[in-house]
Amino acid sequence: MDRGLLANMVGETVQDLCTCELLTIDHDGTYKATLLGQAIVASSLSVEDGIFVHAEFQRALQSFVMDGEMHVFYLFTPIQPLGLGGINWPAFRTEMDRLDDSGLRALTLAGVKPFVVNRM
Amino acid sequence: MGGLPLPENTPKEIETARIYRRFYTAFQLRDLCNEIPIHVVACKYDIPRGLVQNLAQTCEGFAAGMIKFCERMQWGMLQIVLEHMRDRLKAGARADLLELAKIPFIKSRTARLFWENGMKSLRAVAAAEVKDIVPILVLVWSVVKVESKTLLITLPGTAEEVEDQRRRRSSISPKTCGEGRNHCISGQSVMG
Repeated sequence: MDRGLLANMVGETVQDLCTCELLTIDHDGTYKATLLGQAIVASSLSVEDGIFVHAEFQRALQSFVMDGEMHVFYLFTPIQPLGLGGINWPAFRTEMDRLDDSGLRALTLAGVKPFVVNRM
Repeated sequence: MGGLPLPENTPKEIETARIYRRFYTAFQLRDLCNEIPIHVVACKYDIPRGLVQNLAQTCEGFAAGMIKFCERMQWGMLQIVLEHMRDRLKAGARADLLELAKIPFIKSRTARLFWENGMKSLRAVAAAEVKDIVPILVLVWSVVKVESKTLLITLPGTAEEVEDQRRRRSSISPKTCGEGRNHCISGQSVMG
C-alpha cells in the first residue's frame, strides 16, 4: 500500500478518535487513551457500539431504576439484533401491561412509549 | 404476529426500532432468569427456540463486556449490580438459588426443587442423606419426562452419584431404561 495513503488514513483515524473523545493528546504531544477509550477496548465492543453503550449507560446512570430487575436486564440485552426474531406486538402489549411500577419506569427510561406499543 | 413492524427509514427510526427490539428481548432475558424454561419463553414471545437458547449464551458474553466497561469507567456501584445479575444469568435462576446452583450438574430446575423441599443451602444438601435427596431427583426426572416426550435429557453427574451411593447402600437398585443416551431410575425401585 502506498505509504502516503496509509499515513493519511492513520492520521484521519487518530483525528476521529480524538473527536469522539476516545483519545487525547497531552501537552507534550503524546497520545493517551481516555477512560472511555480504555473501556471500549476492555469490553471488546466495536467503536460504534462502544459509543452507543456509553451514551446508554450515561442515560441510565441519571436515573437508574434500582427497585426492580427490568432496567438491568435491558442493559444486559445485546444491542445487535440477534437473528430474525421479530416482535410479536400482542405479546409485547401483554408483558407491558403486566409490568409493575418499577418495570414501567425502566421501560419509559429505555425510550419505549406505551402508546406506540398499544397502537401496533 | 400482529401489526406491522416499526418503520426503519431514518437513522432516528432505526434507533427507535432498535430500542423496542431490545426491550422485547429484555423481557425474554428476565423470564429466563426467573426460571422459565426455554421452550416456554420461545412460545410466549413467538421466537424460534434456537434463538432463545442463543440469547442466553450471547448475553453471558455481552454481560462480561459490560462489566469490564463499567470497571474501566470507574462506575463501581453499577459494576457490582451487573456482576450480581451476571451470576443470575449464568444460573438461569432467581437470587435465592444462587448458592445451590453452584453444585456441579445442578441446574436451576433441580435447585428450585431442592429449595422447595427444604434444602436451601449447600450445607443442607451436604448434610442430607441419600434417601432424602434421591426422591427429589426422581421428581426432577419425572417432571422433565412428562414435559418433553421427544427430548432426551441426561443428568450424568447425578446418576453416577446415586450409582455410587447404591454401591455403598445396597438398598437402592437402579434400573436403566434403554432410551439412547438416557439413564433414569424408575421410581419404584428407588423408593422401595
